Amino acid sequence: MAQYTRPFLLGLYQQMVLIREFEDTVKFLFLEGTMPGTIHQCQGQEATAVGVCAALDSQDWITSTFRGHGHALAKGLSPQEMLDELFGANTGCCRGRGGSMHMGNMAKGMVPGIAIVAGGIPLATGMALAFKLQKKPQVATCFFGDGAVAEGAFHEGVNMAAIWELPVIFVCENNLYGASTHIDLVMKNSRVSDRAKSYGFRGETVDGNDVLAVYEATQKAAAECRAGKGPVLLELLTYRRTGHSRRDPCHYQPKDERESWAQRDPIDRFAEKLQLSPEEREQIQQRISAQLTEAVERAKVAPHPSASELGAYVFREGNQTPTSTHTSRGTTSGKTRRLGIADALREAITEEMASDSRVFCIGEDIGVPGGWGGAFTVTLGLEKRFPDRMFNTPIAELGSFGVATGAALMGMRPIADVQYGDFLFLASDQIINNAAKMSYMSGGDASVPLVMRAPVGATGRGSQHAQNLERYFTGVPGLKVVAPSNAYDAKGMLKAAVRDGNPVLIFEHKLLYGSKGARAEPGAVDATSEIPDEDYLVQLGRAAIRREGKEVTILAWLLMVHYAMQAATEIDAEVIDVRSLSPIDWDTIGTSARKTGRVLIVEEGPVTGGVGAELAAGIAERWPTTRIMRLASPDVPVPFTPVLENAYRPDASRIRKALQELSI
Amino acid sequence: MDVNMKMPDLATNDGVDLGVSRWLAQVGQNVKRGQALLEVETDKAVQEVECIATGVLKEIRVQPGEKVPVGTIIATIGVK
Repeated sequence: MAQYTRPFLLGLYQQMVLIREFEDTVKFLFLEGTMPGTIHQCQGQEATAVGVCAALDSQDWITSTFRGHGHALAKGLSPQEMLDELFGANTGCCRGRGGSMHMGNMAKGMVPGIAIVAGGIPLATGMALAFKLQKKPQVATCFFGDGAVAEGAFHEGVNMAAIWELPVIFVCENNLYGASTHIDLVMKNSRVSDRAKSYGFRGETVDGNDVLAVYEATQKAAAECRAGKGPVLLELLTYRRTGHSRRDPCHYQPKDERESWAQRDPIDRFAEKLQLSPEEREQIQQRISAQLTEAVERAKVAPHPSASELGAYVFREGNQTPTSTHTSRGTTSGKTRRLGIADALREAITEEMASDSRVFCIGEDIGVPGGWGGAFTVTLGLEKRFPDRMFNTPIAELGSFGVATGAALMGMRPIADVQYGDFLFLASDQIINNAAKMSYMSGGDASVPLVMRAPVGATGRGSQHAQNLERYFTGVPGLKVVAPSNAYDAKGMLKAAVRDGNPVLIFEHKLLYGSKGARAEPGAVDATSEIPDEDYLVQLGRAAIRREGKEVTILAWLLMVHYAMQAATEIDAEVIDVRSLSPIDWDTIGTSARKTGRVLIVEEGPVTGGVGAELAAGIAERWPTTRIMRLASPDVPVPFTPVLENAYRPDASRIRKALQELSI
Repeated sequence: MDVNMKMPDLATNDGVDLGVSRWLAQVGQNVKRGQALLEVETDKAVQEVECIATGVLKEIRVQPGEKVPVGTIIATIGVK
């Protein structure tokens, strides 16, 4: 201890007292019923937050959990901005949009807390990937509890940090309980640090109630990270003296266990080590307590957001700066080439990567020499041109989408893909809970400029490589969803998505790619376009009229646009390529619906709860005299045998029949 | 200064009145913030409730066996 100055040691002590006093203050505010919501507190665990954060530099980042008050204070958030946040005030660190569980401040190196227990682990890995790509000597530190270790996100996240040797310190605060369940009930090997070895990196178990031990272990880990040696897992043994959440009386913690941990209280132990007298301790505590009392009084009268601001911060303003924008398929220079969707997407990715070093690709099999360039050749050969920006992931969609989200949070512009849209279910926690909500939960301070790509459509692959996933993601606030039906749109929309600044999910159809060679699809439909030589974007959020007509409107996207065009030849139908599924372009749709008075919505995928249902309801609400009909797949899984698959997917003849019914 | 202590919101279900089981300190006694001051019977369990201030327990307003809504003042603590 002789190597440390007295002010430094006293600083650690005071930080721990600040956390204890803050948590107690908040607890009593809750007990009084003064504060809204719920809380998860960290009394007894003060040494982990303080020891870890004291060893980090100010430009290092942390991710936290739903039990994050201690982490926030230790990372330098002020008690005032946190109390304001707890009271739901506009002056809070997340402008009242985050609350106790999503405490954070992007200006102070703390991402809003992640309340899905292992959700921050792939995120921190992605943040560290960004630091490595940006060649910055920063470290991402990821706090999580013992309860997170059983989640898949833990394994996927630490594995990717290990294989890419990323600067992440994984900090497991092992307080023996996940909610009320003791770790011995859920772990055969309850030594959490052992898990690092199975992924090929160093793990260490530390007395988490000894602030100096935590500090020293973190210093060592951070030095290893900065030296490029890859991640470290620190297991900090500690104990939560308070309930899991505010109404939890801790009846599951045996009395003798509580008492023995009380003997190892981190604040009492450190006071003893520093030989602080009871008077000195009392003085420090009272000074901090008085500061907090003042902060509470200010927080109680801090201004709240007005209800009219409800929709603020869902999206970030985009920064689309094309050299030229085409609103139609027309070109300005006249020079074009005919390309399919796979080739057009590859061109879009190549151009964006060439012009913006923040853009990188992440996915399975996307850039393996001798491989296919993703399942449908979109990224074929890109590893030759961009060897450092093509990340071939393990088969771990939750992890890779979390990594992409984390990297986006740190200013990168990742393009993440799944081989088949069906795998998005695995990744959906990161997409829905993190990528889509981070801007909002942070009160607009965080942004996730993330592009996601997913192939959909029934193509002879049975039920699990064939679903149309659009419906599951169109109702997610904070997420944009598009579905291009031709190569021109595919290229322009992908480029617009990369520059948008928000998470954008692009659905692509397997029968429309125009993939060649071994990856060619039987039954493929020609979706090639004339692609202009110069840079262009297709604005997100806009539908496109593919055929003008007066009698009836057909709404379709992806493959169904092509079938609708075939069916529309015999009738004066207007075909609209919806193409932006979220947000929906009601202007274009409404103009047509008012003109024709009849709308047929054609969707590949089960009829119940589909995007078509949303379109139908939206039209009925806005233009109630419109006659609306849906043509979609029946409510059955996608079948394998061709005769059933053909019966499942709407086609041109069924669209014709539906048009006749609608016109009667 | 007097600090009023209110019935905390400990119920699992909303709108349930909570009962005082017993007081763990007597009027006139010195009390410390964080010490167990009373036991409350919720709809699920009997739970200890900690004192919210350091001082003297001046008044007990809800007797054992009585049930009151969340937020009702249950005791007054005189703080120096």
